[in-house]
Amino acid sequence: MEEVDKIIIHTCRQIGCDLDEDVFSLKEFSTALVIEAVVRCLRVIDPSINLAHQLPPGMSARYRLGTDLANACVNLGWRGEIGYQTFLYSNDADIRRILMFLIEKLPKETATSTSEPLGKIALLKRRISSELSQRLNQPWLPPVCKKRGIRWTSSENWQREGTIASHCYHSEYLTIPEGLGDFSREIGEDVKEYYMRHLQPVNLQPTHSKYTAPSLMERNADRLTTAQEWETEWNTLGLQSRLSEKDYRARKADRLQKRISSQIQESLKQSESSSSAVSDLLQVIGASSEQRDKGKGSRFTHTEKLQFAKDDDKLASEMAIGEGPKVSSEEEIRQQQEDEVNALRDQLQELTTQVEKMEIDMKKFKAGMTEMEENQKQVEAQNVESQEMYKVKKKTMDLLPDADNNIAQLQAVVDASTQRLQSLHQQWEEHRTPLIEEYEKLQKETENQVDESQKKVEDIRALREKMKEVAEETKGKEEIHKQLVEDYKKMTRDLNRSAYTRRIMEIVGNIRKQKEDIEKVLIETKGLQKEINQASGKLSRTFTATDELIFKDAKKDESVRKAYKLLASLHESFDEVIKMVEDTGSIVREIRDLEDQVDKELTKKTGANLEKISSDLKQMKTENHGLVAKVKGK
Amino acid sequence: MAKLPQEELHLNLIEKCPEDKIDGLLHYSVDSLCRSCHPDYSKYSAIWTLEEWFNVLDSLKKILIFFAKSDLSKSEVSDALSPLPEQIIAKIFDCLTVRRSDLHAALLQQTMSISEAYLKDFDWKIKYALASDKISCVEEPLVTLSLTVSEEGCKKTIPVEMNAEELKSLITSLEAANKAVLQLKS
Repeated sequence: MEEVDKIIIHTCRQIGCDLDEDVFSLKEFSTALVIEAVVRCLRVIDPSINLAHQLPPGMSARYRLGTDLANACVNLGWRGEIGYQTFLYSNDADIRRILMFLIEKLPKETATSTSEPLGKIALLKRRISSELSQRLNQPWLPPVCKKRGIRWTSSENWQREGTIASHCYHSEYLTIPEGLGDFSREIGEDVKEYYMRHLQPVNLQPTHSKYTAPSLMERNADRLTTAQEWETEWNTLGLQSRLSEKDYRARKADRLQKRISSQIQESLKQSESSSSAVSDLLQVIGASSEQRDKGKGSRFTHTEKLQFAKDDDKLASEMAIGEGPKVSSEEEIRQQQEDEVNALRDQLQELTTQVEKMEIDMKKFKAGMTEMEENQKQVEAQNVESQEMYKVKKKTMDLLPDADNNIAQLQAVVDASTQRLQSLHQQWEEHRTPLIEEYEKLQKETENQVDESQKKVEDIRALREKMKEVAEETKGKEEIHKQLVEDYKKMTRDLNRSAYTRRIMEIVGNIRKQKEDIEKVLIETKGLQKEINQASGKLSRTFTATDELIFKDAKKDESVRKAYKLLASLHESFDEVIKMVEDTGSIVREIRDLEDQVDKELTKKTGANLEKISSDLKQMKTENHGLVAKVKGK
Repeated sequence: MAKLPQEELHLNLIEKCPEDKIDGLLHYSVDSLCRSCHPDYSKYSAIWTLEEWFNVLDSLKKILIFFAKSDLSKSEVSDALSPLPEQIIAKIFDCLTVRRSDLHAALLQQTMSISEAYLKDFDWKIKYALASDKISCVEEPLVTLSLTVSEEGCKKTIPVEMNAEELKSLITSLEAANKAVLQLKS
């Protein structure tokens, strides 16, 4: 019960009741405190309820307040018996129940997750506003008092004011010794000497010390990105190609170089072909442009190079002639330039068409040449064939005179050759089969190896992915752990939740044990009841049986009639005994119930309340009298 | 491979340098190629006048660049620099072998600057605009990228201010560009 009281008192304090420090249980609540607590709860639940939380002095006002509170509680859903007496003449159990009901109805603090993202922005705004107000309240300091713009507000907090210490982000190349931690690798003597004698520390290497930080950051970011790119590339393509790292890198470098060189050559060719016709003129310009530059000035900044060249060409030719016709006005010069440009363009056009024509002719001739060559080859092949045929025919002609002999000889030769062929064939077969078997064996072996190596590559890849996943999981869990630790620190710890949970678990255990006991008792009771029923049933059956038996003989014999009467009286008396026993049992139960009721009533403090009620009634009566007298008096 | 033009190099001036100071000078020259920092004349003022000093620095730079491009053996290096005494040639060769990677990086930088404008550095700042002169409650996070671009030898700083969506679109376009580069490389 104390925990319940503690919770109630704590909640009352939280909503604003003014309770003394040593109020620990509801027994010590006076009527005024009760009413104050109830009114405050009601106000928090429903702000429209406008009741005073001080107990008014007049009895009728108090009566009204009590009924209002009772009505409000009924409106909220209280199902039990309630009236003004529960508040004005209270007893512990009722008050506890009502306060628990009201506290349950209090609106819960909604710390839901939907307010989280808004919460962050609100936090940020609050921090911004607090920081700004703090800074506006500080007096101004001249820049000399702030070293590099930093100003200390307390021993741990500082802020930067002004831009005097800012500089642009400029990174430079740094040399940092590598591989010194790896003792298995050898470093040359000259390299060591350089590191020791000539290489400056990193913060002295850039042109100004303020550039060390950007240079270091650039260097690290650069290496990190290259390492990551290499990692992904190696995982996807490198492992597949199954080369060692060095070979893969060498191959890639070769490929890239070839590509770059081919691109450069292509673009060179393109630029060359487009400017081949003009390159001659450009050479002429190159020779004579220096003189002309200073002379003509801005008029030529917008003209094409050809115009420029044309003018140079013309003037060069004129100088060669020896006399320069004085060009009188600008327009004539321009007209002349344009004409020269057009003439040159036409010439260019002609030359290009000629070149194209000649190229087409060249191609035709080349094609004709190849055709001729093919024909020649064909003819030669035919020639060779016919020569062979001629030789064969000539030989047969020679052999004709001595026909029979020669035929027999030829036959023998043919037989011998066929036999040789067969033997060779057999030998070839003998040779062939084991070689084929070996070949198939080796193929299978390579296939197995290929499968195994593929499996291993896949295993490696799966392992790497798992490693990455596990690393990410650990990172995530560490972050969650950090967050939860911070949250735990932030949470208020004035209520000891673990004690409550322990009590709750204890109570639950007790209840379970009690339930078991109750069930046992119930089973026993049922068993007893069954026995009683059985016994009474047996009794009645035996009685009826003996009754019949004796009754049959009762008409004849006197003693049997007597026995029958005795039996009846016996049955009645035992019936009475049984009834007595039952009555005693029920009376004992009633006694127990009444005792419980008496205890309950005792706790209600009815005696004290009655006195209070009677005194209040007297007060009310006197007030009424007073009011009536006042009314009459008016 | 073009030959080293010996006439332009002031090899006679380089000969004047005493042995103990030559490797410091060589490393200084490599540093000036990589980082554009200048060696300290005061240490070498006894050996050369100021004009000779500048000539010596120029020729050393040319020598180092020339040999860094190609992978020559010691005998070839000594052939190309034949008028110089043996110890100096040996020191030059040592310096080349030790600082090869730095010289490569410097040459790569020079090659990269062939294109018309290229990005040297960038810096970002995140700001939270609370209000403006027209709207009292703006509350928008903004990012300012200042890009240092080197265009035809002179540095320019280009500031770009973006809000969240523009930044996202910039990042996606840069990722697409990165993918294209990776495809070219593979």
